[in-house]
Amino acid sequence: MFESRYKEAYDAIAPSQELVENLIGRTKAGNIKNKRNRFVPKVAAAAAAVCLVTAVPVCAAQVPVFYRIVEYLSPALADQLVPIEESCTSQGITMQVEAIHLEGNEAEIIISMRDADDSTQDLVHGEMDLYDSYGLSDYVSDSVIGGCHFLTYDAQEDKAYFQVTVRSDHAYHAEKLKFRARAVLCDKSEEIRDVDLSGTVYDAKTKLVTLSGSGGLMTEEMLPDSLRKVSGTSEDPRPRTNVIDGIAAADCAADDFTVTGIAYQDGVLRVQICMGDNWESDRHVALFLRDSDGNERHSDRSVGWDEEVGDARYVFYEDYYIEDIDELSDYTMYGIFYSAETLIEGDWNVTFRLDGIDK
Amino acid sequence: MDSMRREKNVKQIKTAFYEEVIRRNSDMVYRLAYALVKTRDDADDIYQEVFLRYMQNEPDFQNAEHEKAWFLRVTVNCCKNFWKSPWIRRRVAMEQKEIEQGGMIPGLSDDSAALVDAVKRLSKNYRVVIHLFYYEELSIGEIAAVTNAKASTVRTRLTRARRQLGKILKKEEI
Repeated sequence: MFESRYKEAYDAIAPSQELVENLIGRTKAGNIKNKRNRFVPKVAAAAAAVCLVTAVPVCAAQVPVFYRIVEYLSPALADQLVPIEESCTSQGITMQVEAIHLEGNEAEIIISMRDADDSTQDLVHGEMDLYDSYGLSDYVSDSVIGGCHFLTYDAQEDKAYFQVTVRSDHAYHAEKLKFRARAVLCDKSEEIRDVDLSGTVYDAKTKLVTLSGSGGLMTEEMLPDSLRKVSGTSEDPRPRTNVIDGIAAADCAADDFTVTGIAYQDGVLRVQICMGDNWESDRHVALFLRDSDGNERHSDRSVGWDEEVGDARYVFYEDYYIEDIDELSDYTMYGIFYSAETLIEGDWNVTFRLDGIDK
Repeated sequence: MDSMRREKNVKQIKTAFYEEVIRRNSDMVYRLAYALVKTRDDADDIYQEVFLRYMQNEPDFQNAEHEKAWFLRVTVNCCKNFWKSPWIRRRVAMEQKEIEQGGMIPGLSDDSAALVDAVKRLSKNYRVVIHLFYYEELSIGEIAAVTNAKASTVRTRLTRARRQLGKILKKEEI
């Protein structure tokens, strides 16, 4: 019986004793109105420890803005952050490493960007992006993979905050670390547009492309054979896959989005969009499939590649949605189309030490 | 002096009452939170938020069913707020390997871990109805009340969720 199997599985999931007792302890102490207080002493203690060893002492007298932001978004992470507050300036923008949490080969770093004190430009005034140009070095090797999330822009401080996650191929041992960034994208914007599914093709031609990336919640094994990757060649070992052979790259807009093909094949709805020349704009789309009840969902998997057009390279993405064909007519689609106007290339390097901090 | 003592007594009684309610609903709230937000760290946050809301609002429960429905509804609402955060919306797009695996939960058999992982692959609306139906044994109408959705919507979601889960579990009989 599925019911008993489900119950058995979830019976094993329960709050930790520590979590329950902590909550009850706070109830007894009457500390239930402001849960942020719970985390402050630990951070203040960590800040005090950093004061002993860093060149620019941390002010532990008040809880910094970044901490309040992170605590709101993820109390668990906020509890573990060690304040750093070291900065450097390049191209009129000051980057500050606000705090870090190291665990094994993973690092969560809170970064801020603001217009430099002596700058007359207004480059930082809203959502920004580090444009995959960041990394953390422990002087043994650099981080190998990671992700960057824009957290918020704080108008009072004129600061944009980011959470950067990086992983190394080894545990971080070194007590001295360097965070670097090479580019920021400013003036990010987003626009919601409908994607018309009425022209969905059921016998689309496909072409083989070399992938620059792929990912999603569904693993590749769950896809039909026609969508699975094909091994690369000896000259180019990167994986390839068959994508819709839709509107040619040369006919796509260089500075806008172009829907280049929508097809339904082998139980999968495929939506292909060209981002144009993406070097200085980081155009990307989050597509949502919506059923007649208003339920929305992301794609199950997506692939990306680029194609040469003159001197430029246009970026393409194809999103996969595993769906029954008889339900397809009930669906609509829209996307949040993200773009950015200004790419600023600089050289931001912040070196800091973690001596004496419990990592 | 008497009023101070009385105030202290009232506080002690209230605290004991809170503790009883927390312990009584702890597992139910945490399991639903975990089924919805998929990681222990996030479930920990939701769990605390739910009970903080309870203590701040001090709802007057009419009976056990009312209490259970209140906690389930507030847990679902806290999860909805959690999903609204831009930071979380971006995290949804992360690779599956970054989502906590069921196998990481102590005490879970391989079979149970596979089921928990399969539930995590469902969309959030489907995870809610599946958990409330199969674990909490709520009726379609009760799920509709907890999730603030129409009964017909709940029925559709449950049907689709069961079908998707069946596909993921490779024709497991549901």
